[in-house]
Amino acid sequence: MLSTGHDDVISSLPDAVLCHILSFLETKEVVATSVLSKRWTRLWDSVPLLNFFAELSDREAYFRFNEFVYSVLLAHKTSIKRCTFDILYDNYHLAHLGFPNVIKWINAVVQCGVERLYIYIESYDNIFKLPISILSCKTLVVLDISTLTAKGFSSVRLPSLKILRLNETNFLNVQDLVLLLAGCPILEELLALHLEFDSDDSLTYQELESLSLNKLRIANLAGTICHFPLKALHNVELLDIEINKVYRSFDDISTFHNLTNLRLYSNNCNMNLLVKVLKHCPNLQNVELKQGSAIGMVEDVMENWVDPTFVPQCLSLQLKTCIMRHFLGQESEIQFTRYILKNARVLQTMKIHCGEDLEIEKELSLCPRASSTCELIIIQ
Amino acid sequence: MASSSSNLISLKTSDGTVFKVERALAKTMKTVQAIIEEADANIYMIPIHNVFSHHMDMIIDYYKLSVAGKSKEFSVEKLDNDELKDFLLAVHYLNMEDLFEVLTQAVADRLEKKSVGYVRKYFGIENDFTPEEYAAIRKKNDWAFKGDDIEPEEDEEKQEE
Repeated sequence: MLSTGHDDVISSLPDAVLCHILSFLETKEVVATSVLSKRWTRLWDSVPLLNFFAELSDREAYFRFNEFVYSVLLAHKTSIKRCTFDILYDNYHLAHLGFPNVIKWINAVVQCGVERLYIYIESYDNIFKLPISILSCKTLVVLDISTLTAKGFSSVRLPSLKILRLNETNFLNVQDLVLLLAGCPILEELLALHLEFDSDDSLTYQELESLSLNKLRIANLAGTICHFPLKALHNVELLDIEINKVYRSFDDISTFHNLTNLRLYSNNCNMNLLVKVLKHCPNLQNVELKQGSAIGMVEDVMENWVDPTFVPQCLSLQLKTCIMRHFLGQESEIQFTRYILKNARVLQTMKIHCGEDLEIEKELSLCPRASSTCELIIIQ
Repeated sequence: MASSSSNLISLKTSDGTVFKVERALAKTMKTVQAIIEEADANIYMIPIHNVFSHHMDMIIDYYKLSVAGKSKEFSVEKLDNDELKDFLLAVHYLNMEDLFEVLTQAVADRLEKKSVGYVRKYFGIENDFTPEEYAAIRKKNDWAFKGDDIEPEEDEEKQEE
């Protein structure tokens, strides 16, 4: 008979299991367990996960938090598998004092063989600079960073990195972004949202060709407007991308054989180009086109529609849903929609989001449809 | 390799019930898998200590859900704290990685944001500190206690004894 009283249970839960349970809790709570009993005093610093959360608005809180993090890191005996720093410095002075400490903490954690690292350092006036030590961390599998600056690095070696998430990260130029990605040969998932670049350089042909991320399956580059090397994305299954600066390289791109879901953000859109994109995605099942970029600008569509002489394979065989957002009702757009409806043989849904005053329903519902099961939905 | 003729493995729980499970399910139990691999001849029945039939029922439920891609629908909410701890021990003994993660997370969820007194009661932990030692530890990890409800409820636990 196993469970008779509380005493039996505690002696039969081994240390390793207790540590595993604690690893789901915030570090602050984990440290609090040190007062439970003498056995527990030894346990908490073997928990391989650390989660530090703080909103620091005054000096007292700042100093106590600093002391806390240092003592936790110093006491830690086992390797740290996962670490989160989620810190808001509520004024310039605290940030100025705090940043060098955060860099030391991150360096310490990197040295402990960290596998998953989440860094969200916020301060209203300051931007935290990414410690370079992260970029040669052999053990790192997941890196998730927000509102940081990544500059001044020249070599990147992240042989274990599978997931990279960048949010509002600031780079010198797109070459630096390519340099970072080139150091992640087994990358599977890339999130690069709202990246900012100091300079507007384009990549050379060689630079465009050189980056190859064969294992990359998911890429979301919403809000990042730059001359991104499309060849690097050739194996992805899911893609979100702003095509404004990228499109000039579309002539030379390879086919996206695995791409089934595509979301395109396009400003001053060239609808003919969109058809060309579809040509390069033979297995595309779901496509979404959003006028205006992910950062909100909307410009008129180019009025240069020419009926294509070919029908992309995905239209004939694969495309199930087509969603268009911020539909302006211009002639090119209507012609494009008509072209899709006419040629998409297995299309199930064509959904159009547009302004209330637009009267396109009648015109579009009269368009001939290749797919008898196709539903046209207009949302205003 | 043992028992290649049959796709079912027989497992006998502590309370004497025999479960015939698919080989694929037995494979998720590293302890059982090790026993199978070590056996020279075919094994007919594998005893699993510390595992009761009600545990096996839940293990089979979880397995069916995860095969159908619905492992997120598995819930241990109806178990009380002691039952959950027992189940965790059984799964730990069988060395089942995924289910172990699910259960340790469930225990952690029940402990989150609770006071030290609650945790003490939950695990049945005896406070073996002297008052001085306790005060010293408490002071040393000061930050962990400031600002919220992780204050230990000393009076409450003294009443328990």
